[in-house]
Amino acid sequence: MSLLPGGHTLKRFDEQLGVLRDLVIQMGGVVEDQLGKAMRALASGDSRLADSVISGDRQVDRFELRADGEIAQLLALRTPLGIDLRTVLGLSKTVNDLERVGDETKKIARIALKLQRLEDELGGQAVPLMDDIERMARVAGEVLRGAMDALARLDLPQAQWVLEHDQAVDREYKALLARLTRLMMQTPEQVPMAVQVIFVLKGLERIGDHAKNIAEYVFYVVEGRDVRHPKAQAST
Amino acid sequence: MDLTFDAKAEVRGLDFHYADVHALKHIELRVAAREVTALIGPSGCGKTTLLRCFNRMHDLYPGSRYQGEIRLQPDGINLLDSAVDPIEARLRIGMVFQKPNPFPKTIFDNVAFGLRVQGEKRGVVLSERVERALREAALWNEVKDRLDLSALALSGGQQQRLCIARTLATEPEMLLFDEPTSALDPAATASIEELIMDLKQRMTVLIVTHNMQQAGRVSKYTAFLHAGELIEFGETEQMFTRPQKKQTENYITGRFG
Repeated sequence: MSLLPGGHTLKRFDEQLGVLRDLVIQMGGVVEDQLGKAMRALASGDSRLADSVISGDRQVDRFELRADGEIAQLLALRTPLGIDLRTVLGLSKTVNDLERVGDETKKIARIALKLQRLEDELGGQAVPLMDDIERMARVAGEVLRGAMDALARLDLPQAQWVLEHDQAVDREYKALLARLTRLMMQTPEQVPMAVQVIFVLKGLERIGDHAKNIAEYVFYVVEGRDVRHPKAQAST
Repeated sequence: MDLTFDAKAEVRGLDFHYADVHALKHIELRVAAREVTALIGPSGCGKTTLLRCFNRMHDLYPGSRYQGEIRLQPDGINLLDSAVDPIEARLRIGMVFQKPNPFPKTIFDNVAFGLRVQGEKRGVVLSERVERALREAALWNEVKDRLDLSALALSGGQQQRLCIARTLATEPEMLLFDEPTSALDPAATASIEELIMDLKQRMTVLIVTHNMQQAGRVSKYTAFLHAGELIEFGETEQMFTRPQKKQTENYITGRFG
């Protein structure tokens, strides 16, 4: 993870940073996998898959606990400075965002189960805008993977790509929300399902935001530059 | 970098040689008034040499040469000017060393030493100023009943505070600390750091430390030296989170070869 030629004089420090970095990258992989499964469960109505996403969130939480333990140790015992401090802070914040993404995917899995019950109750009514939801989910997934790649490689152009593509997720969210609103007005019998779909869209939109946060930490880690909240920074 | 502050001392084009060793190379540094500035860098980088230039400690060793100047405000005298009496300079700029170095005298006589050098003989004045200095050094309550005891009977942390009191007694404008806590335990270290932060209300502090966390805790500004050159100067917070120079980054993160 080091940007600097050569590691620390204290090799154990490099090892510990490496352990933390690997944990966070692995956690990202698990969360991406959870998102993919949740979306497949939603599209296919596979309730066993949805259940496995819900129970799988515990694995995400375990990663969070382990990473936080490593972070506390690094801060207490190594008192990192400079790039090391920025790395630990960036990874620590990434862990929070990944845990939240995990929560969003768990919610999507729960909605998948609920939509299936509604389908049965409503006599086989189809989930509205399913193709569009899947398309938005693919973009959100790509943005999340892009953010984790940017973090793993400390790749600023990649982080910039994530910031731009999160806006595509936001645009998609607004457009689909408008279509769902019209749909609910035109065909009120679709309201119960459409409401659930709105929750899914909101979850995907939030996942895009978390990916954007992670991309912003990459700027902080590499350059010490805080690219978050430009308006708030301009007024201080 | 734009750093606006009133300077208590300005180092301009300072070169220093120990015989044929070029120990400081064209140093330019402004020391902020009533703030703590830390000098950091690997062993042999010149930080202690620079510190010692401020009160002309090098005059004690033959073969050392200064070029350039250190202007002390508000009067702007050049401390390195041979016309400036080093004893006078040391009354305005006090120094506390790595190891506590109390004189083998009583606690009272240690603190009164500088005042007597200045020619103060009146017992009432001496008592009053010794008490004030000991209070400022946060030592009074521990020693007020045994001022006649040998200073060597005190603990390491107390001896270091006694040395600070001895320096404070002559009311210097600036204090130089050369790794003042490297021989002390964490509690004694904390009390010295607390004291340094209190002192900066009234005087300018320049401190050499190998302890990055200490520099972080006590200083507002940090200067990083390497191989006799000033590599980077800036606000401590910025230097420790996002230094501008790779050499600084390498040093503070422990990647120095």
